[in-house]
Parts: sequence; C-alpha cells; structure tokens
Amino acid sequence: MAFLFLSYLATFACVIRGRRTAALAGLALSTALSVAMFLHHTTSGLELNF
Amino acid sequence: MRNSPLLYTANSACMLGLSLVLVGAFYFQYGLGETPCPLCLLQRMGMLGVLVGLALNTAFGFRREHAAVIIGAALVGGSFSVRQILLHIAPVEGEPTGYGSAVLGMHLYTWAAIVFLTTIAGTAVFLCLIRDEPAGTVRRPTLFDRGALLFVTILCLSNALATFVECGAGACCENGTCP
Repeated sequence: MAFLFLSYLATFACVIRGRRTAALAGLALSTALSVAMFLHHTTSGLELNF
Repeated sequence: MRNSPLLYTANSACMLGLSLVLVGAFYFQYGLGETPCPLCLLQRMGMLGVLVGLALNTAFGFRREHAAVIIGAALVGGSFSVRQILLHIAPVEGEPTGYGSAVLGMHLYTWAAIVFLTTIAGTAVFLCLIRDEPAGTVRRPTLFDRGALLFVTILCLSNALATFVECGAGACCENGTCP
C-alpha cells in the first residue's frame, strides 16, 4: 500500500513544480488505485472486521 | 489575482488544519502503539487527496475544478469511513466494540467521516466566496503558503515510509502488521 502514498507524493511534486495537468492526472490515478485497493480489501473474503 | 490574499491564507490554514489530523493519526500509531488497519490508511489517502486540491489552489489560484477535486476526494475518503463505521455499527456480544481507542467517545474513523463532511461543507462556503482565476495562472505563494505546502508533502512522504515499514511494498494484512 506504500506505493499508493508514493503516487500521492508524486502528485504533490507535480503541484510544486507547477505542472497542473500532470497533478490532476496523478490525483485521478491515485484515487483510482486507492478505490481498487479498497475493493480488494472488501472483497478478499478474509477477516473483514478491521 | 482576482481573490483576496486573506482567502489564500485561509486555504493554507485549512491545509495545516487537515494535516494536524494526519499528525494525530501518527500519534495514535507511534505514541499509543495502535497499528493502522488498511481502511484507516485508505482514509488517510482520502485526506491527502483533499490536501492535493487545496495545494492546487495554493499553486495555481482558486478554480472551480480544484473545488471539484476537493469534494471528490472527500467523497471517496468519506465512503471508506462510512464503510468502517458500518462494519462496527452492530457490536458482537462479548467482543470489543469498534477498532482502536475512542476520542471524545467516537472512534477515529467516525471522526474521519466528520472531517470529510466538514471539508465538503467548507468547500461549499469557499465556492460562495471565490472567483475563478484566469486559465494559466501561476501564483507566487507567500512564505506561509510554501511552508504549508512543504509540510503536507513531508507528511505524505512520512506516510509512505510508515506504511512501507508496516506492510512492505504490497497490500497490507487485514489487522495491523503482517505476520
């Protein structure tokens, strides 16, 4: 899951470097990946009491 | 600039306020030894998404698209919080209620849901006060703005490192540190 935080970090780097379109694309990708991770965790059939 | 500098200072103050929530999460993780669960980490990501929207305001000026980013990220993060609230809404007899310790009677994921709702309400207020900056605007942030931006970036890096220590490079285990 650490790579998801790294994708947010890359998005912040884009903001700081003044690349707005790249930042928006990075955020869209990061959000999509975190939703995918959410779906993975909620449908994995393991202990869900977390 | 078509907006008051005071609004940009308020925007940076909101960034720092939301960052304090993430700092508080670190206190629970390292100060109290409560390892965050995967849903907890996902809620942190929702907050980072909101912070990206606020950072876009700082760097490029107020735009409606940035407000949309903030509301979208708050909705995603809020969904994760609500999912966790629903998981614990009906306590099982003989088992401890909720995950982790409570603050002022509510668990952290309940507070997270309140933070995301407040973010959406705050963005609605901002939308009433701001005017869109022209396309292509690149602001010169003040020292306070730059400090806030640097702080949230360091916070994001800290979260990445902490998660790597807890879970490694892959997905996290269901309840805290992987065996």
